[in-house]
Amino acid sequence: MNFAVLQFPGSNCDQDCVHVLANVLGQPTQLLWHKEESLGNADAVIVPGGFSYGDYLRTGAIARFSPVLRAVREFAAAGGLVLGICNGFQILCEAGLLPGALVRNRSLQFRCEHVHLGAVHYDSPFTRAIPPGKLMRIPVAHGEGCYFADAETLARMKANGQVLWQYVNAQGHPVSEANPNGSVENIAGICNEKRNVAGLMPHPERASEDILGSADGRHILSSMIQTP
Amino acid sequence: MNANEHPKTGLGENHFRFWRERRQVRCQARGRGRVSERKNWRGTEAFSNMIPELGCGLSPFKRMKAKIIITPKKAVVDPQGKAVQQALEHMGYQGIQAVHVGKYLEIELKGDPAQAHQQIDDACRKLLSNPVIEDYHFELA
Repeated sequence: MNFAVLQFPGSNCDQDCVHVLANVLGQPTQLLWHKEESLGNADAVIVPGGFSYGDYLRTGAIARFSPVLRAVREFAAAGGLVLGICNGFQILCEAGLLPGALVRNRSLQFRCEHVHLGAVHYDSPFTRAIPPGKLMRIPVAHGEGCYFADAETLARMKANGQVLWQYVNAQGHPVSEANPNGSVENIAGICNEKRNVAGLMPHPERASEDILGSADGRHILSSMIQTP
Repeated sequence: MNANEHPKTGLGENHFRFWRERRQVRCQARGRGRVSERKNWRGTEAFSNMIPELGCGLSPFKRMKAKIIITPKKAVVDPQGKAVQQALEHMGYQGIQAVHVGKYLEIELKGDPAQAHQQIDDACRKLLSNPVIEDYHFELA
């Protein structure tokens, strides 16, 4: 499976994503500069974390207008798999490819720590390889990861099973103490209605090798590789 | 010193060009008509063709400033506003009900005011604010 990892000025998790996809999961992976207008032969796109365009104005607000995002929009409309991680999640929300928005953490703190992540639905190309009931230990690192959607949008998302991941405690319960940013309903990641575009705040690429203390992130990235 | 500047006043070439051209345009527009017709020289085509980058106050090429205020929507939690409110209360300020922290932008532009208004409104919706979490309003002057 050919992966394309986007690179904006200020992206800083792009190389980690390329490393995990190419060296750990053994997939052909290319890095795509934001000025590219075509995704080439990519079968899946990763929008990585970082601080694209310095997070000026709002996180992801300017990256959304990059030429490569036009290509991603067409790719997603045609059913291609797109995963946004952290700043990539913020970009996809700004671009309107995912509902809702990410705002300043309720604590106002930049949170950089491991969280417990639980999958809510296993029937998506981003969660299907996760062992049922598995609590994943994955790091978050963000100041603006508090997911927000209005009540109507949230109800529609829940009815469609679009909430894919929640922050949970060690027992697997989505309690507020387990939530690093104050997001609604402990939401850590979501997908679109067609289930081919997803975004999450935690960094699976930073937890994909045992030497890093956790390899649970691999379940998410290898879900994309596994053919349905 | 710029060779084009007036030796005593330091006024540049553009200054003289502006007033020279203004005089010509005005004379053309007024012609020998009645006094009531003369007043309207600013509305003439000749006037709107006057070197716009020199900035003549009332032409269709008006210089404007858009003052844009972006605030978080009521339904969105505003932890910055809460933190500022708490700090103000700690300082002993009385009666503070709520604080909302937003953004203020100034955009300088020139052109047709109606078109400028439309452009700024469009930019506010597409880039400057995120309608999911923010409200905006602006004035153009």
